[in-house]
Amino acid sequence: MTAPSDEREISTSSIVVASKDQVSSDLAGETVLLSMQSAMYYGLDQVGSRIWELVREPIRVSDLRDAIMREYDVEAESCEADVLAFLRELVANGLIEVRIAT
Amino acid sequence: MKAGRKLPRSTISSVRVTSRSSLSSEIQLLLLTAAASPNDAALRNVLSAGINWQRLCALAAHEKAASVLLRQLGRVGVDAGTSGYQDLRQLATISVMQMLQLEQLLHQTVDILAKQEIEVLLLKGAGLAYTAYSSFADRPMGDLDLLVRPQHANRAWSLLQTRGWKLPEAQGGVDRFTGHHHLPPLFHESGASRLEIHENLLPGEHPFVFSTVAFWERAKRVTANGQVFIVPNSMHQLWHVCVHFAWSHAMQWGSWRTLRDSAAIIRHGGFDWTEFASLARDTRAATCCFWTLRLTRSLAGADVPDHVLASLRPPYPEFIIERLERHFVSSLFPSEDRCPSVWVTRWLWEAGIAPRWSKHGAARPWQVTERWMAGSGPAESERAGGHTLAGWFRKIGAGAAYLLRVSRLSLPVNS
Repeated sequence: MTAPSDEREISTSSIVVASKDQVSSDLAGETVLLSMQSAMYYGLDQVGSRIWELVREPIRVSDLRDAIMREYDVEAESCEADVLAFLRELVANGLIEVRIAT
Repeated sequence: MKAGRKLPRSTISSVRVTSRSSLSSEIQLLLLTAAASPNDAALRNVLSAGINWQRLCALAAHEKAASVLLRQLGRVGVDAGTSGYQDLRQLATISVMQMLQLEQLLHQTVDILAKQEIEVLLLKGAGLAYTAYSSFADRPMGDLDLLVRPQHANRAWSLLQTRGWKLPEAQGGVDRFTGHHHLPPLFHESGASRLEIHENLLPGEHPFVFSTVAFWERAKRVTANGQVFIVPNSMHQLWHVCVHFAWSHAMQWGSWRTLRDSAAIIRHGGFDWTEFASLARDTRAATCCFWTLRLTRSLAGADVPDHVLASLRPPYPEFIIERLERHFVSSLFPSEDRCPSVWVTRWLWEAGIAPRWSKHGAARPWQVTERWMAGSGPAESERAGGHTLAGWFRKIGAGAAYLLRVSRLSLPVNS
Protein backbone atom coordinates (compact mmCIF):
# COMPACT_ATOMS: atom_id res chain seq x y z
CA MET A 1 0.00 0.00 0.00
CA THR A 2 1.22 3.51 -0.76
CA ALA A 3 0.02 7.00 0.09
CA PRO A 4 0.67 10.21 -1.89
CA SER A 5 3.51 12.40 -0.68
CA ASP A 6 5.46 15.45 -1.85
CA GLU A 7 9.08 16.10 -2.76
CA ARG A 8 10.16 17.24 0.71
CA GLU A 9 9.38 13.80 2.06
CA ILE A 10 11.42 11.73 -0.39
CA SER A 11 13.51 9.17 1.40
CA THR A 12 15.08 5.88 0.49
CA SER A 13 11.87 4.12 1.51
CA SER A 14 9.71 6.25 -0.81
CA ILE A 15 8.31 4.77 -3.97
CA VAL A 16 8.66 6.90 -7.09
CA VAL A 17 7.08 6.61 -10.52
CA ALA A 18 7.00 8.71 -13.68
CA SER A 19 4.06 11.10 -13.82
CA LYS A 20 1.37 10.49 -16.42
CA ASP A 21 1.51 14.17 -17.38
CA GLN A 22 4.68 13.86 -19.41
CA VAL A 23 5.95 12.36 -22.62
CA SER A 24 9.56 11.44 -23.19
CA SER A 25 11.90 10.15 -25.84
CA ASP A 26 15.35 8.66 -25.99
CA LEU A 27 17.94 10.67 -27.89
CA ALA A 28 21.17 8.72 -28.39
CA GLY A 29 21.46 7.70 -24.75
CA GLU A 30 20.00 10.91 -23.40
CA THR A 31 16.35 11.77 -22.82
CA VAL A 32 14.08 14.64 -23.79
CA LEU A 33 10.98 15.14 -21.62
CA LEU A 34 7.95 17.33 -22.14
CA SER A 35 5.80 18.17 -19.13
CA MET A 36 2.19 18.41 -20.24
CA GLN A 37 1.35 20.53 -17.18
CA SER A 38 3.94 23.24 -17.70
CA ALA A 39 4.62 22.74 -21.45
CA MET A 40 8.33 22.82 -20.54
CA TYR A 41 10.97 20.61 -22.13
CA TYR A 42 13.71 18.96 -20.06
CA GLY A 43 16.89 17.16 -21.02
CA LEU A 44 18.42 14.31 -19.04
CA ASP A 45 22.03 13.19 -19.39
CA GLN A 46 23.05 9.54 -19.57
CA VAL A 47 22.80 8.83 -15.84
CA GLY A 48 19.58 10.81 -15.55
CA SER A 49 18.21 8.82 -18.47
CA ARG A 50 19.02 5.58 -16.71
CA ILE A 51 17.20 6.77 -13.59
CA TRP A 52 14.30 7.84 -15.78
CA GLU A 53 14.20 4.38 -17.33
CA LEU A 54 13.97 2.88 -13.85
CA VAL A 55 11.18 5.18 -12.64
CA ARG A 56 8.94 4.34 -15.58
CA GLU A 57 7.59 1.61 -13.29
CA PRO A 58 7.05 2.25 -9.56
CA ILE A 59 10.34 1.66 -7.74
CA ARG A 60 11.57 2.12 -4.17
CA VAL A 61 14.28 4.78 -3.98
CA SER A 62 16.65 2.41 -2.16
CA ASP A 63 16.29 -0.11 -5.01
CA LEU A 64 16.90 2.63 -7.54
CA ARG A 65 20.02 3.76 -5.65
CA ASP A 66 21.28 0.17 -5.50
CA ALA A 67 20.73 -0.30 -9.22
CA ILE A 68 22.70 2.85 -10.01
CA MET A 69 25.50 1.80 -7.66
CA ARG A 70 25.72 -1.56 -9.40
CA GLU A 71 25.96 0.05 -12.81
CA TYR A 72 28.18 3.06 -12.12
CA ASP A 73 31.43 3.56 -10.32
CA VAL A 74 30.19 5.70 -7.44
CA GLU A 75 30.43 5.93 -3.62
CA ALA A 76 27.31 4.82 -1.74
CA GLU A 77 26.92 8.05 0.20
CA SER A 78 27.26 10.40 -2.75
CA CYS A 79 25.13 8.14 -4.92
CA GLU A 80 22.24 8.33 -2.48
CA ALA A 81 22.58 12.10 -2.10
CA ASP A 82 22.75 12.62 -5.88
CA VAL A 83 19.82 10.33 -6.58
CA LEU A 84 17.65 12.01 -3.94
CA ALA A 85 18.56 15.48 -5.21
CA PHE A 86 17.77 14.46 -8.78
CA LEU A 87 14.43 12.92 -7.78
CA ARG A 88 13.46 16.05 -5.85
CA GLU A 89 14.13 18.06 -8.99
CA LEU A 90 11.93 15.73 -11.02
CA VAL A 91 9.14 16.05 -8.43
CA ALA A 92 9.45 19.83 -8.34
CA ASN A 93 8.90 19.87 -12.10
CA GLY A 94 5.93 17.49 -11.94
CA LEU A 95 7.73 14.74 -13.81
CA ILE A 96 7.45 12.02 -11.16
CA GLU A 97 5.10 11.18 -8.33
CA VAL A 98 6.29 10.13 -4.88
CA ARG A 99 4.57 7.76 -2.56
CA ILE A 100 5.57 6.85 0.96
CA ALA A 101 5.59 3.14 1.48
CA THR A 102 3.31 2.23 4.36
CA MET B 1 28.38 10.74 -10.32
CA LYS B 2 30.89 9.00 -12.57
CA ALA B 3 29.65 6.67 -15.23
CA GLY B 4 31.83 3.54 -15.21
CA ARG B 5 29.57 1.26 -17.18
CA LYS B 6 30.79 -0.27 -20.36
CA LEU B 7 28.27 -0.23 -23.15
CA PRO B 8 27.33 -3.65 -24.49
CA ARG B 9 28.64 -4.54 -27.92
CA SER B 10 26.13 -4.55 -30.73
CA THR B 11 25.44 -7.85 -32.39
CA ILE B 12 26.68 -7.96 -35.96
CA SER B 13 24.65 -9.96 -38.43
CA SER B 14 25.67 -10.92 -41.95
CA VAL B 15 27.01 -8.07 -44.01
CA ARG B 16 26.95 -7.43 -47.73
CA VAL B 17 27.65 -3.95 -48.94
CA THR B 18 28.72 -3.26 -52.47
CA SER B 19 31.77 -1.07 -52.69
CA ARG B 20 30.76 -0.07 -56.21
CA SER B 21 27.64 1.72 -55.20
CA SER B 22 27.64 5.17 -56.71
CA LEU B 23 25.15 6.62 -54.25
CA SER B 24 26.74 9.24 -52.02
CA SER B 25 27.99 8.13 -48.59
CA GLU B 26 25.38 10.33 -46.95
CA ILE B 27 22.53 8.69 -48.87
CA GLN B 28 23.95 5.23 -48.16
CA LEU B 29 24.12 6.07 -44.46
CA LEU B 30 20.54 7.29 -44.47
CA LEU B 31 19.35 4.18 -46.28
CA LEU B 32 21.09 1.96 -43.75
CA THR B 33 19.12 3.61 -40.95
CA ALA B 34 15.85 2.82 -42.73
CA ALA B 35 16.28 -0.90 -42.06
CA ALA B 36 14.20 -2.50 -39.31
CA SER B 37 17.50 -3.88 -37.91
CA PRO B 38 20.21 -1.48 -39.04
CA ASN B 39 23.46 -3.17 -39.96
CA ASP B 40 26.10 -1.77 -37.59
CA ALA B 41 29.06 -3.05 -39.58
CA ALA B 42 27.74 -1.49 -42.77
CA LEU B 43 27.16 1.80 -40.95
CA ARG B 44 30.75 1.76 -39.69
CA ASN B 45 32.02 0.97 -43.19
CA VAL B 46 30.24 3.93 -44.70
CA LEU B 47 31.35 6.19 -41.85
CA SER B 48 34.95 5.12 -42.22
CA ALA B 49 34.87 6.15 -45.88
CA GLY B 50 34.19 9.73 -44.79
CA ILE B 51 31.02 11.75 -44.41
CA ASN B 52 30.13 15.26 -45.43
CA TRP B 53 28.28 16.21 -42.26
CA GLN B 54 26.74 19.32 -43.76
CA ARG B 55 25.23 17.27 -46.56
CA LEU B 56 24.14 14.58 -44.12
CA CYS B 57 22.41 17.11 -41.86
CA ALA B 58 20.64 18.68 -44.84
CA LEU B 59 19.48 15.25 -45.97
CA ALA B 60 18.41 14.30 -42.44
CA ALA B 61 16.42 17.52 -42.08
CA HIS B 62 14.79 17.03 -45.49
CA GLU B 63 13.76 13.47 -44.65
CA LYS B 64 12.94 14.22 -40.99
CA ALA B 65 15.45 11.53 -40.11
CA ALA B 66 17.71 13.42 -37.67
CA SER B 67 16.63 11.76 -34.42
CA VAL B 68 16.75 8.24 -35.85
CA LEU B 69 20.07 8.89 -37.57
CA LEU B 70 21.59 10.29 -34.39
CA ARG B 71 20.50 7.26 -32.40
CA GLN B 72 21.99 4.85 -34.92
CA LEU B 73 25.24 6.77 -35.20
CA GLY B 74 25.48 7.03 -31.42
CA ARG B 75 25.06 3.28 -31.19
CA VAL B 76 27.98 2.55 -33.50
CA GLY B 77 30.22 4.91 -31.57
CA VAL B 78 30.60 7.99 -33.75
CA ASP B 79 32.81 10.58 -32.09
CA ALA B 80 30.28 12.80 -30.32
CA GLY B 81 32.79 15.65 -30.35
CA THR B 82 32.64 16.05 -34.13
CA SER B 83 31.02 19.37 -34.96
CA GLY B 84 28.84 17.74 -37.62
CA TYR B 85 27.57 15.30 -35.04
CA GLN B 86 26.70 18.21 -32.76
CA ASP B 87 24.77 19.85 -35.60
CA LEU B 88 22.90 16.60 -36.12
CA ARG B 89 22.22 16.40 -32.39
CA GLN B 90 20.72 19.87 -32.48
CA LEU B 91 18.43 18.91 -35.37
CA ALA B 92 17.50 15.69 -33.58
CA THR B 93 16.66 17.48 -30.34
CA ILE B 94 14.37 19.89 -32.15
CA SER B 95 12.75 17.00 -33.98
CA VAL B 96 12.14 15.06 -30.76
CA MET B 97 10.69 18.13 -29.07
CA GLN B 98 8.33 18.61 -32.00
CA MET B 99 7.28 14.97 -31.84
CA LEU B 100 6.61 15.17 -28.11
CA GLN B 101 4.47 18.22 -28.64
CA LEU B 102 2.67 16.63 -31.58
CA GLU B 103 1.91 13.56 -29.48
CA GLN B 104 0.50 15.72 -26.72
CA LEU B 105 -1.68 17.57 -29.25
CA LEU B 106 -2.81 14.28 -30.76
CA HIS B 107 -4.04 13.06 -27.39
CA GLN B 108 -5.86 16.33 -26.72
CA THR B 109 -7.40 16.42 -30.20
CA VAL B 110 -8.65 12.85 -30.21
CA ASP B 111 -10.09 13.47 -26.74
CA ILE B 112 -11.93 16.62 -27.92
CA LEU B 113 -13.42 14.74 -30.88
CA ALA B 114 -14.30 11.66 -28.81
CA LYS B 115 -16.35 13.85 -26.47
CA GLN B 116 -18.42 14.85 -29.52
CA GLU B 117 -18.71 11.17 -30.54
CA ILE B 118 -16.51 11.67 -33.56
CA GLU B 119 -14.42 8.56 -34.20
CA VAL B 120 -10.88 9.16 -35.39
CA LEU B 121 -8.64 6.75 -37.27
CA LEU B 122 -4.93 7.61 -37.12
CA LEU B 123 -3.46 7.63 -40.61
CA LYS B 124 0.17 7.50 -41.76
CA GLY B 125 2.76 8.60 -39.17
CA ALA B 126 0.57 8.70 -36.08
CA GLY B 127 -1.00 5.32 -36.86
CA LEU B 128 2.38 3.76 -37.55
CA ALA B 129 3.94 5.28 -34.44
CA TYR B 130 1.51 3.33 -32.27
CA THR B 131 1.75 0.07 -34.20
CA ALA B 132 4.94 -0.56 -36.17
CA TYR B 133 7.20 1.53 -33.91
CA SER B 134 7.94 1.44 -30.22
CA SER B 135 7.05 5.05 -29.53
CA PHE B 136 5.53 8.13 -31.10
CA ALA B 137 8.84 9.97 -31.27
CA ASP B 138 10.42 7.01 -33.05
CA ARG B 139 8.38 7.86 -36.15
CA PRO B 140 9.15 11.49 -37.02
CA MET B 141 6.38 13.23 -38.94
CA GLY B 142 5.47 16.68 -40.13
CA ASP B 143 1.79 16.66 -39.26
CA LEU B 144 -1.14 14.69 -37.91
CA ASP B 145 -3.41 12.96 -40.42
CA LEU B 146 -6.74 12.04 -38.88
CA LEU B 147 -9.38 10.15 -40.82
CA VAL B 148 -12.98 10.75 -39.74
CA ARG B 149 -16.24 9.51 -41.23
CA PRO B 150 -17.18 11.79 -44.17
CA GLN B 151 -20.36 12.94 -42.40
CA HIS B 152 -18.26 14.12 -39.42
CA ALA B 153 -15.46 15.85 -41.30
CA ASN B 154 -16.81 19.41 -41.39
CA ARG B 155 -18.04 19.26 -37.80
CA ALA B 156 -14.64 17.98 -36.59
CA TRP B 157 -12.78 20.61 -38.61
CA SER B 158 -14.97 23.46 -37.30
CA LEU B 159 -14.89 22.22 -33.72
CA LEU B 160 -11.09 22.06 -33.66
CA GLN B 161 -10.91 25.67 -34.77
CA THR B 162 -12.52 26.59 -31.47
CA ARG B 163 -9.96 24.48 -29.55
CA GLY B 164 -6.61 25.91 -30.48
CA TRP B 165 -6.33 24.84 -34.12
CA LYS B 166 -6.36 27.70 -36.62
CA LEU B 167 -6.90 28.07 -40.35
CA PRO B 168 -4.19 30.42 -41.65
CA GLU B 169 -5.49 33.32 -43.66
CA ALA B 170 -2.78 32.82 -46.26
CA GLN B 171 -4.02 29.32 -47.00
CA GLY B 172 -6.16 30.31 -49.97
CA GLY B 173 -9.79 29.56 -50.55
CA VAL B 174 -11.44 26.71 -48.72
CA ASP B 175 -13.24 25.94 -52.00
CA ARG B 176 -9.92 24.79 -53.38
CA PHE B 177 -10.25 21.70 -51.18
CA THR B 178 -13.67 20.69 -52.52
CA GLY B 179 -13.36 17.08 -53.64
CA HIS B 180 -9.93 16.78 -52.04
CA HIS B 181 -9.28 13.93 -49.60
CA HIS B 182 -8.75 16.24 -46.67
CA LEU B 183 -10.04 19.60 -45.47
CA PRO B 184 -7.72 22.63 -45.39
CA PRO B 185 -4.87 21.98 -42.92
CA LEU B 186 -5.08 23.55 -39.48
CA PHE B 187 -2.13 24.88 -37.49
CA HIS B 188 -1.97 24.87 -33.71
CA GLU B 189 -1.74 28.22 -31.98
CA SER B 190 1.12 26.97 -29.80
CA GLY B 191 3.51 26.61 -32.73
CA ALA B 192 3.89 25.11 -36.14
CA SER B 193 2.12 21.78 -35.53
CA ARG B 194 -0.14 20.91 -38.45
CA LEU B 195 -3.27 18.80 -38.64
CA GLU B 196 -5.26 17.43 -41.55
CA ILE B 197 -8.80 16.11 -41.19
CA HIS B 198 -9.20 13.43 -43.86
CA GLU B 199 -12.42 12.14 -45.32
CA ASN B 200 -10.61 9.79 -47.66
CA LEU B 201 -7.21 8.21 -48.08
CA LEU B 202 -6.25 9.60 -51.47
CA PRO B 203 -7.08 12.61 -53.64
CA GLY B 204 -10.24 12.27 -55.72
CA GLU B 205 -8.44 11.69 -59.03
CA HIS B 206 -6.78 8.42 -57.98
CA PRO B 207 -7.21 5.33 -60.16
CA PHE B 208 -7.48 2.75 -57.38
CA VAL B 209 -10.53 0.62 -56.75
CA PHE B 210 -10.57 1.02 -53.03
CA SER B 211 -13.09 1.98 -50.42
CA THR B 212 -12.17 3.92 -47.30
CA VAL B 213 -14.99 2.04 -45.58
CA ALA B 214 -12.80 -1.09 -45.79
CA PHE B 215 -10.14 0.75 -43.77
CA TRP B 216 -12.69 1.46 -41.06
CA GLU B 217 -14.14 -2.05 -41.08
CA ARG B 218 -10.81 -3.72 -40.37
CA ALA B 219 -9.31 -1.04 -38.16
CA LYS B 220 -8.15 -2.03 -34.69
CA ARG B 221 -7.82 -0.37 -31.32
CA VAL B 222 -4.50 0.22 -29.58
CA THR B 223 -3.72 1.81 -26.24
CA ALA B 224 -0.96 4.39 -25.93
CA ASN B 225 -0.21 6.34 -22.77
CA GLY B 226 -3.51 5.21 -21.31
CA GLN B 227 -5.60 6.45 -24.25
CA VAL B 228 -7.31 4.23 -26.82
CA PHE B 229 -6.73 4.98 -30.52
CA ILE B 230 -8.16 3.50 -33.70
CA VAL B 231 -5.51 2.57 -36.27
CA PRO B 232 -5.64 0.76 -39.63
CA ASN B 233 -4.68 -2.90 -39.64
CA SER B 234 -1.13 -3.70 -40.75
CA MET B 235 -2.11 -4.85 -44.23
CA HIS B 236 -3.96 -1.62 -44.96
CA GLN B 237 -1.11 0.40 -43.50
CA LEU B 238 1.35 -1.27 -45.86
CA TRP B 239 -0.99 -0.78 -48.81
CA HIS B 240 -1.41 2.90 -47.96
CA VAL B 241 2.34 3.44 -47.53
CA CYS B 242 2.98 1.81 -50.93
CA VAL B 243 0.30 3.72 -52.81
CA HIS B 244 1.05 7.04 -51.15
CA PHE B 245 4.71 6.75 -52.05
CA ALA B 246 4.55 5.22 -55.52
CA TRP B 247 1.54 7.15 -56.76
CA SER B 248 0.98 10.32 -54.73
CA HIS B 249 4.71 11.01 -54.30
CA ALA B 250 5.74 9.46 -57.63
CA MET B 251 8.58 7.65 -55.77
CA GLN B 252 10.41 10.93 -55.25
CA TRP B 253 9.35 12.33 -51.87
CA GLY B 254 9.15 10.95 -48.36
CA SER B 255 11.46 8.14 -49.48
CA TRP B 256 13.34 7.46 -46.28
CA ARG B 257 10.17 7.33 -44.21
CA THR B 258 8.48 5.08 -46.77
CA LEU B 259 11.32 2.57 -46.78
CA ARG B 260 11.56 2.65 -43.00
CA ASP B 261 7.78 2.40 -42.55
CA SER B 262 7.45 -0.52 -44.96
CA ALA B 263 10.36 -2.32 -43.30
CA ALA B 264 8.87 -1.68 -39.84
CA ILE B 265 5.38 -2.89 -40.84
CA ILE B 266 6.85 -6.02 -42.42
CA ARG B 267 8.97 -6.71 -39.37
CA HIS B 268 6.00 -6.09 -37.07
CA GLY B 269 3.93 -8.57 -39.13
CA GLY B 270 0.31 -9.28 -38.32
CA PHE B 271 -0.88 -9.69 -41.92
CA ASP B 272 -0.97 -12.38 -44.55
CA TRP B 273 1.22 -11.81 -47.62
CA THR B 274 -1.11 -13.68 -49.96
CA GLU B 275 -4.04 -11.53 -48.85
CA PHE B 276 -1.91 -8.43 -49.26
CA ALA B 277 -0.95 -9.39 -52.82
CA SER B 278 -4.62 -10.00 -53.68
CA LEU B 279 -5.58 -6.64 -52.21
CA ALA B 280 -2.85 -4.92 -54.22
CA ARG B 281 -3.96 -6.55 -57.47
CA ASP B 282 -7.70 -6.13 -56.86
CA THR B 283 -7.30 -2.44 -56.09
CA ARG B 284 -5.09 -1.81 -59.18
CA ALA B 285 -2.18 -1.02 -56.91
CA ALA B 286 -0.01 -4.01 -57.86
CA THR B 287 2.79 -2.05 -59.51
CA CYS B 288 2.76 0.66 -56.81
CA CYS B 289 3.14 -2.05 -54.18
CA PHE B 290 5.72 -3.90 -56.27
CA TRP B 291 8.08 -0.94 -56.53
CA THR B 292 7.74 0.16 -52.94
CA LEU B 293 8.33 -3.37 -51.69
CA ARG B 294 11.15 -4.08 -54.11
CA LEU B 295 12.94 -0.90 -53.05
CA THR B 296 12.28 -1.67 -49.39
CA ARG B 297 13.78 -5.11 -49.84
CA SER B 298 16.85 -3.99 -51.73
CA LEU B 299 17.54 -0.79 -49.79
CA ALA B 300 16.20 -1.47 -46.30
CA GLY B 301 16.76 -5.23 -46.21
CA ALA B 302 13.07 -6.02 -45.57
CA ASP B 303 11.95 -9.62 -45.80
CA VAL B 304 9.57 -9.47 -48.76
CA PRO B 305 8.80 -12.92 -50.16
CA ASP B 306 9.78 -13.58 -53.78
CA HIS B 307 6.32 -14.91 -54.62
CA VAL B 308 4.73 -11.62 -53.53
CA LEU B 309 7.01 -9.55 -55.72
CA ALA B 310 6.51 -11.99 -58.60
CA SER B 311 2.74 -11.65 -58.34
CA LEU B 312 2.84 -7.84 -58.37
CA ARG B 313 5.54 -7.04 -60.91
CA PRO B 314 4.78 -5.29 -64.19
CA PRO B 315 5.12 -7.52 -67.27
CA TYR B 316 8.78 -6.80 -68.05
CA PRO B 317 11.91 -8.91 -68.12
CA GLU B 318 14.26 -8.57 -65.17
CA PHE B 319 16.84 -6.43 -67.00
CA ILE B 320 14.19 -3.76 -67.65
CA ILE B 321 13.05 -3.94 -64.03
CA GLU B 322 16.67 -3.54 -62.88
CA ARG B 323 17.21 -0.46 -65.01
CA LEU B 324 14.00 1.13 -63.83
CA GLU B 325 14.99 0.34 -60.26
CA ARG B 326 18.28 2.18 -60.73
CA HIS B 327 16.39 5.23 -61.90
CA PHE B 328 13.94 5.09 -58.99
CA VAL B 329 16.80 4.73 -56.51
CA SER B 330 18.60 7.72 -57.99
CA SER B 331 15.38 9.76 -57.64
CA LEU B 332 14.69 8.96 -53.99
CA PHE B 333 16.58 11.87 -52.45
CA PRO B 334 17.51 15.40 -53.48
CA SER B 335 20.84 15.15 -55.26
CA GLU B 336 22.69 16.42 -58.29
CA ASP B 337 22.36 12.94 -59.76
CA ARG B 338 18.60 13.14 -60.03
CA CYS B 339 17.05 13.04 -63.47
CA PRO B 340 17.18 16.60 -64.83
CA SER B 341 14.21 16.16 -67.16
CA VAL B 342 10.62 16.24 -65.90
CA TRP B 343 9.53 14.58 -69.13
CA VAL B 344 12.00 11.68 -68.77
CA THR B 345 11.10 11.32 -65.09
CA ARG B 346 7.41 11.01 -65.93
CA TRP B 347 8.10 8.66 -68.80
CA LEU B 348 10.14 6.38 -66.54
CA TRP B 349 7.49 6.54 -63.82
CA GLU B 350 4.87 5.46 -66.35
CA ALA B 351 7.18 2.69 -67.53
CA GLY B 352 7.45 1.41 -63.96
CA ILE B 353 3.84 1.80 -62.87
CA ALA B 354 2.48 0.67 -66.25
CA PRO B 355 -0.79 2.64 -65.98
CA ARG B 356 -2.38 0.93 -68.97
CA TRP B 357 -1.54 -2.58 -67.75
CA SER B 358 -2.67 -1.51 -64.26
CA LYS B 359 -6.00 -0.19 -65.68
CA HIS B 360 -5.35 3.31 -64.36
CA GLY B 361 -6.93 5.03 -67.33
CA ALA B 362 -5.74 8.60 -67.79
CA ALA B 363 -5.15 9.34 -64.09
CA ARG B 364 -1.59 10.42 -63.25
CA PRO B 365 -0.24 11.82 -59.96
CA TRP B 366 1.09 15.03 -61.52
CA GLN B 367 -2.44 15.99 -62.59
CA VAL B 368 -3.22 16.52 -58.90
CA THR B 369 -0.11 18.68 -58.51
CA GLU B 370 -0.95 20.68 -61.60
CA ARG B 371 -4.50 21.27 -60.42
CA TRP B 372 -3.06 22.67 -57.20
CA MET B 373 -0.65 24.85 -59.10
CA ALA B 374 -3.48 26.30 -61.21
CA GLY B 375 -3.84 29.96 -60.41
CA SER B 376 -0.45 30.19 -58.73
CA GLY B 377 1.82 30.23 -61.75
CA PRO B 378 2.46 28.12 -64.82
CA ALA B 379 1.86 24.39 -64.64
CA GLU B 380 4.84 22.17 -63.86
CA SER B 381 4.83 20.64 -67.31
CA GLU B 382 5.07 24.11 -68.84
CA ARG B 383 7.92 25.14 -66.52
CA ALA B 384 9.78 21.96 -67.28
CA GLY B 385 11.31 23.29 -70.45
CA GLY B 386 10.89 25.73 -73.30
CA HIS B 387 9.00 24.97 -76.44
CA THR B 388 11.84 25.99 -78.76
CA LEU B 389 13.75 23.46 -80.84
CA ALA B 390 16.93 24.24 -78.88
CA GLY B 391 15.01 23.68 -75.65
CA TRP B 392 13.86 20.27 -76.84
CA PHE B 393 17.42 19.29 -77.84
CA ARG B 394 18.73 20.37 -74.44
CA LYS B 395 16.06 18.30 -72.71
CA ILE B 396 16.75 15.26 -74.86
CA GLY B 397 20.50 15.59 -74.27
CA ALA B 398 20.14 15.94 -70.51
CA GLY B 399 17.73 13.01 -70.38
CA ALA B 400 20.03 10.79 -72.45
CA ALA B 401 23.06 11.65 -70.31
CA TYR B 402 21.05 10.83 -67.21
CA LEU B 403 19.90 7.45 -68.58
CA LEU B 404 23.52 6.54 -69.33
CA ARG B 405 24.65 7.61 -65.86
CA VAL B 406 21.89 5.79 -64.03
CA SER B 407 22.58 2.55 -65.88
CA ARG B 408 25.91 2.44 -64.00
CA LEU B 409 24.37 2.77 -60.55
CA SER B 410 25.12 -0.24 -58.38
CA LEU B 411 22.53 -1.96 -56.22
CA PRO B 412 21.79 -2.89 -53.52
CA VAL B 413 23.29 -0.90 -50.66
CA ASN B 414 21.60 -2.62 -47.75
CA SER B 415 20.84 -6.31 -47.72
